[in-house]
Amino acid sequence: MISLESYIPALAFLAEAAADAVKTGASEMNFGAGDFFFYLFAVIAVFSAFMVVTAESPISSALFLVVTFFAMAAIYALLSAHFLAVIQVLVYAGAIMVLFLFVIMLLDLRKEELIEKRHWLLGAVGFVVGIALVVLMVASFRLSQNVEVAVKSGTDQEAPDAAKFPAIQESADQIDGSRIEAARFGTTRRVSKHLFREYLFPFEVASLLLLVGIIGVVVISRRRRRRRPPGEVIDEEGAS
Amino acid sequence: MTGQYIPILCAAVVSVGLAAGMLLLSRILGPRNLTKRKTSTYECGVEPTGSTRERFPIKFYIIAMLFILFDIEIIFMIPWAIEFRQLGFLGFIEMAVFIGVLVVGLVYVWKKGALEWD
Amino acid sequence: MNPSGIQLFLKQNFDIQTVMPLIVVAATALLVLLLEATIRGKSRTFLTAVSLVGLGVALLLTLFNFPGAKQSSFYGMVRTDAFAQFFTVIALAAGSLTLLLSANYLPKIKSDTGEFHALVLLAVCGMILMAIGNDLIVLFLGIETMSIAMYILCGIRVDAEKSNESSLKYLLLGAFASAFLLFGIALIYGATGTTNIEALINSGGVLYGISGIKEYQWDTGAYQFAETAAQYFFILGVAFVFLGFAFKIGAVPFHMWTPDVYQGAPTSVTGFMAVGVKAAAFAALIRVFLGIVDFGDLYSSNAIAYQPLMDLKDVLLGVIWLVAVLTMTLGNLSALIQTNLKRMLAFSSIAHAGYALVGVSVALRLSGDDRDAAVGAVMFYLLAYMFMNLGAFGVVIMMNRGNDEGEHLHDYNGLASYRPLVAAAMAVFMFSLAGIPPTAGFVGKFYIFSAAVSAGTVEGYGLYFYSLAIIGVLNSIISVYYYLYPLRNMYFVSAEREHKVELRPLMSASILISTIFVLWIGVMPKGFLSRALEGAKALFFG
Repeated sequence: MISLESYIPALAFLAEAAADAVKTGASEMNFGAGDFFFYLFAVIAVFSAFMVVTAESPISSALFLVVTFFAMAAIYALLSAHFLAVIQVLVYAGAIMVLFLFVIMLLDLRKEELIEKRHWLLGAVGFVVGIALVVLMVASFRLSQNVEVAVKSGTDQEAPDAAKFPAIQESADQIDGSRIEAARFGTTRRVSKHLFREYLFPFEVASLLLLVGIIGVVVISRRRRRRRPPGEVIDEEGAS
Repeated sequence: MTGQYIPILCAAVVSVGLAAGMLLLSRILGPRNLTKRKTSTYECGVEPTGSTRERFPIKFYIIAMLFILFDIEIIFMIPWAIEFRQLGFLGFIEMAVFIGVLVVGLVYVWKKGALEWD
Repeated sequence: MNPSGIQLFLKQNFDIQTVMPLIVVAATALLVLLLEATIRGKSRTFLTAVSLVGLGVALLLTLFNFPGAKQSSFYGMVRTDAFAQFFTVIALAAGSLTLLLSANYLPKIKSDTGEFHALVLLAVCGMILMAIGNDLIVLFLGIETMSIAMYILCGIRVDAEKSNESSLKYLLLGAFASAFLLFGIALIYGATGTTNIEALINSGGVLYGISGIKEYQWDTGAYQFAETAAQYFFILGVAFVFLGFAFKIGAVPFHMWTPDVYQGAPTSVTGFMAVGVKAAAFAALIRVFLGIVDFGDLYSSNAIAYQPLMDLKDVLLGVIWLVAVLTMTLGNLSALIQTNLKRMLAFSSIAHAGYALVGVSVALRLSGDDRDAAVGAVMFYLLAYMFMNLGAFGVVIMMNRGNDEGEHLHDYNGLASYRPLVAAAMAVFMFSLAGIPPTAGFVGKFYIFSAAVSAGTVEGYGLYFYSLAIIGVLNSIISVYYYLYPLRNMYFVSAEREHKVELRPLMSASILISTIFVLWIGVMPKGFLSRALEGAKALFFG
């Protein structure tokens, strides 16, 4: 149960862990190159995400968002989700950012229109909730050390019906599989194998979703009706 | 596998370093002479009137939005193309259905004139 | 693979027959879109006919040619059981009635475009996906397909500022809710290693140590699967998924968007939103949360010591209890003070989501026949609600005189004297919404509250469920006041002047169908209830 009591040991653990880290020193921790890059990109991502929200000009917000996207792509690559990393750069840092910039220019907000009119209470509530979430996250990691392993561990139970749900089998394989196997996990080939077999149905449905988006673009950007001179070709709903 | 990214990392470090270095060097080495005339938009041109930030026509937005949607379609085709032989005829049909739905969307957009500039 | 092997493979995993209704609706949407793009001329009425034929064929396929058995297809992505069938029927019927209502209404608001029909059809596709989806990914895609179509439909009156406002508000808040939903799905995947609801149960209630929930062992320097962390991720994921669904069904405290969005949208879209989106969201909510609760039970039965996940059921019950009570009460109290009928119906739809949540909370806590009864009651209620609410919105559309005129309560003054049939139909819908016999609304409420009362007899949960039933009944009594207010205006206040109320054939047909079903379900609920119970029973796995 996520109750208040969970927080008390969690806070204690936070303090303990911090003291621990100071005592042992960073050098004694098993800190590989992968960890270093993860933390590097994580810090970059969080910092630039923070800047997105706090930057004064919408344009600089958008540019910081690009940085966030790149850092995210790097983290995906570190998690050996190679295909996803490339897509992240292509679609998000590329196409979607262009759209964001267009929208910013389309709106052309003046500075005085951007002045916040938020009640301080909302900010305070947001702060408290944010802190609570952070503590909860850390707690869930740290607490787990204290609890005896009370449940059958995840790897030695019977595998679920693998023929029916190959995705699970795949995942389970990965726990035991060699590092090389794990590294192949996110390659385009692997993605392809899953996408066109188990995930065929969602894949086809995605085309409907894209179609709805296409209709939406045309409908929403449709010009307001105006009187046309007589004799003009009637093209009432033309978006042009 | 992650090791493959080392060249990309090198390129990123070099390009970021180069850009930052150039900016820094010009800041340090360049002479600075900030007069009012010097900082005007066109030093020896016509005085600009109004803001440079103008509202973009919605046409840009439509094109960008449609681009993204069809961009995503293309991205789904990459893994399909890579495994084309292994996926076989079934894979071909799968992709045909997917593209077929979006071709209807393309025809619709085209006929509606959303791709025309004026 | 030999030929018969291939056939078996195709049958198991690419059984197109299981998703035939979906394919028919989607194909009709594509056809309508092509017709809209290629055909010149102004009238779009024939597109209504095309769309209705498509929906009709899909409805026939669903009713008479549905696989029905506990069958999953496409690698477990979809599950076409009686539960899916029931909600597919609701989606198709809601779409058909909406199109019937819109046929004469769209030219009036100058939005007579083929896109409207295509978007309604695509939204129905989304709802069907939410009904048959057996995997969180499919459910999410269904929710998005439906929601995005809805955002556009709300703003289809490009000229009307209110419609634009409605669309934008819905889009921004809806996108926020979708983000939470997706985050929740990701957390659940991280904790369990699957997004498939059936696989969640079949896994035997074991959290998987994949996808990075590993913790650093400070003493040995190794990484180990973090069991408790996985539990917290699971719980957090469940909370986020619930938040996303709560937004879609418009439950308090995620209801703020409802009144403005409902009022600004074209009235037929409002009706569609109130019944279709809600029913589909409840379908997905029930399927996902019953799966989650079952998973929690299995997990608890494996555990040999206390685990945080064991409390999930009780915490969920507490949360949903609170949400249901708040939703019913706030929805009803806000509806009391409205003077605009459309806005009043918007608030009342919040209250109805609360009644349905009462049934959901019962279903989550109980098991066996009691759970079936509760799920069946919710399903039955959503079916009844579809007819009565769409009917009421139909009358509002009929009274509409362009723009937003004709929606005010005093516009209904003396309607009975010059349009007695319309007034009578409205009276039926209002009685049904208020839950007065012999209408569908009464039977629906009766089943839900009796499920709550019978759940109250379970040891230790009397306070929870008796109080829920009592608060529900009290709320129904409050709602009688504002539902009967328009009736007072229609029957006992004389009209200052008679408004022109056109009885257009398609619109009248829609209202007639709704009236017939409201009374039919109210007088002979047995057949409908048995179908609902069949659906509820089909939800069990294994």
